[in-house]
Amino acid sequence: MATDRLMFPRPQTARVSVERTPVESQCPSCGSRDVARYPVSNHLGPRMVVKCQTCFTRLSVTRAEPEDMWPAWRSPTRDWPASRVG
Amino acid sequence: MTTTTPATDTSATGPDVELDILRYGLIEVAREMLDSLMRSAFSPICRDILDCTVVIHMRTDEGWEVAALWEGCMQHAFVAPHIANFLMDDWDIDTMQPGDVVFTNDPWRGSLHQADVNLFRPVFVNGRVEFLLQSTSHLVDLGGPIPGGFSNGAQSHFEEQLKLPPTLLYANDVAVRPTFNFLLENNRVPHLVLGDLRALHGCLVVGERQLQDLIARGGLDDVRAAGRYAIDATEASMRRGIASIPDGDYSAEDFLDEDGVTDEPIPVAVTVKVRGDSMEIDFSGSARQPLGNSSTAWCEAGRCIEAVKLMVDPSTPVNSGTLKPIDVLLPAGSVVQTLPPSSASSHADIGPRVINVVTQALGQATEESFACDTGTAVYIGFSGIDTRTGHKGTPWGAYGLAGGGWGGTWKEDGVSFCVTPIGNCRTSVQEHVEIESPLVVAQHEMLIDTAGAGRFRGGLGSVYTIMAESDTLVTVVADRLRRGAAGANGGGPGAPAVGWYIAGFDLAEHGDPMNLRGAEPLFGVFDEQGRPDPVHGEFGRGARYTTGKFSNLVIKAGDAIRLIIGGGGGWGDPLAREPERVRQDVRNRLVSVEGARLSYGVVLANGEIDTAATGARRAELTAARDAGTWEVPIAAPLEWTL
Repeated sequence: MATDRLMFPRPQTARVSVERTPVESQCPSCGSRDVARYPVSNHLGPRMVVKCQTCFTRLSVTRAEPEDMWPAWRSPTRDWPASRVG
Repeated sequence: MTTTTPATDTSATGPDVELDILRYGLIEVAREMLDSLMRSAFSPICRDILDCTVVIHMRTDEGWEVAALWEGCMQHAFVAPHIANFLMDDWDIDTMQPGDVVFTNDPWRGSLHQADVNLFRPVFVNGRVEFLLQSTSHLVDLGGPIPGGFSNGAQSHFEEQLKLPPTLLYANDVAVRPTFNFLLENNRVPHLVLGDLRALHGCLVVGERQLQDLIARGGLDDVRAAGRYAIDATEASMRRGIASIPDGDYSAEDFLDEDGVTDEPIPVAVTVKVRGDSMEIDFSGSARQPLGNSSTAWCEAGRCIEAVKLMVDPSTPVNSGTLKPIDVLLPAGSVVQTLPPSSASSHADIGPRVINVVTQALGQATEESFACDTGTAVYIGFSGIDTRTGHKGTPWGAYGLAGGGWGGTWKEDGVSFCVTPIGNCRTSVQEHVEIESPLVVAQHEMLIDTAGAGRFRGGLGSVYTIMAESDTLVTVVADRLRRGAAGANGGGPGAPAVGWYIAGFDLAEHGDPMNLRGAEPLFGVFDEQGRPDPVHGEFGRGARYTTGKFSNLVIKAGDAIRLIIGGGGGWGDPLAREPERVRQDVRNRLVSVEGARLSYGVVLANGEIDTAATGARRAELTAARDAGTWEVPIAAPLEWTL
């Protein structure tokens, strides 16, 4: 729904963290199998990375999928056709 | 002429001269844009304080990358790359036409807060948008319940200033009347905001003209190659700096005093991970978003990198290359990435704290570190209706930035009397303030004993006293009220912030900032007699507020507000500071004789060092520190008059 990512409850826990999801993969640079996928901000903005946790080689950098909720908020008209004035 | 993008590492072959000339050409376009903006803006926040910046974004296969910029205020440079990409994710580039200008001030699209507005103008070459010019500035007002933004106490963005998603402000260089009407009809100072919006638009016109001229002379391919060269060169320099830090995970935690609604400290935690020439800055473990207005929506993703830039690569021009080696992790729903409908307009304390905590983490990794800066801008916003002869009935607004001190470094004392690293803004031009606003700046000067003690002490803080000539509505945003900026490597904290209200201000009677007669405490830590005393005093004792974040204080005509902003933290053991440097500080009234004895163990008699007594005093303090009965005191002025 267009308006489902405009308002959010305050987190229940006093502190919050970013989750790194382990990925079955091997780093092409250092051979480590400690690879994870998680949301970051890079030089362009919000992205999802699959990244070696040993040497930080980026195995992939992609835009987030809807289920990634990254960032959580989203324009309600994101997928609408644009008029001359936006 | 070389037209390909040069290799990232130019150290072996040296820079390509043609590309370097064009790279500087891009920077020069940005410089002229900012000159145009500051010379034509109406409000003091843009024209004098320079809370503004201009940017040239270049279209790339990945998105929009900053090729050049010119700062009025450093923090804008670090958040601009994301704003452009958020904007262009929302705006269909195919609908853009020459002379269009798109406006946004949405914190969830990267804006620092609603008061900082961003205008974007496409630059077409051969019918294709190749560049995006950005002008950004703080505006004096954008409606909402609290004049000037910084909506203390607000718990949702519905209670804050106007917030616009990307919105057309000019179409083919013709003002879009509904957008202007919306902005100006919901505004306390429409004449100032109109002047600033026109200046923000005008500098984009100047920028496009200059950029098109550069492209005509250099060719599009080469100008784009120069932009890429600039980004690659800056990235390479940042990576060299990061690679100089030993691989490892470095964690630190700092805190905001509270959010202005509850009295709970708000922890800001960070782990900086270094792997070769790459870095992650992970704010996991930070507090959830506070109830009150003390968190930001997105901007810390870029702003925290200021700490890295200052520490490892202070000299190269900032562009997207500055950000490229670093991934930032912002927990959703945290103090560094608050989620709507939270309030998000008060960024002036979380920003410095984020930079402070990254500085503290990196300080564990390298000897070439520095201590925290003051960590709060002690922002003050003024507004009202002028009652002076010749100005009667005129709505007005002005800002004050008290100025603090930067932290001591591994090689020198911190810089005194300047704004925190989030923005190297200027102070107001006091003469302009007094002409344009019913205010008299009674004093704005460095204050003795406010710098954190250290082998290299922090920069000094200041005292700022402003008298109202008409009834004036005031907003104050201050933090670090209990304990000042943290020291590093054994250095002591700077002084915390303090505020007073002085009824019936008379310069002859109240001009000495150390004289507390007639001064009602507004906020701070005070002893039983009302002296500021962060070591033995009690927070909020006898004070009107138990927070430094309040709005709608009315200064009646003839009354004044006085603020003390602390200095930076000290670096290194103050007992190892050269006694002669302490003597010079005492001579220059930066440190008192008693402060020299208490914090540095230097004993002075008649302005000269008592070498024997100093040796004994330092031995005594060293032994006490080893026994756990002495620590470097929090800086605090000592010579109060009751």
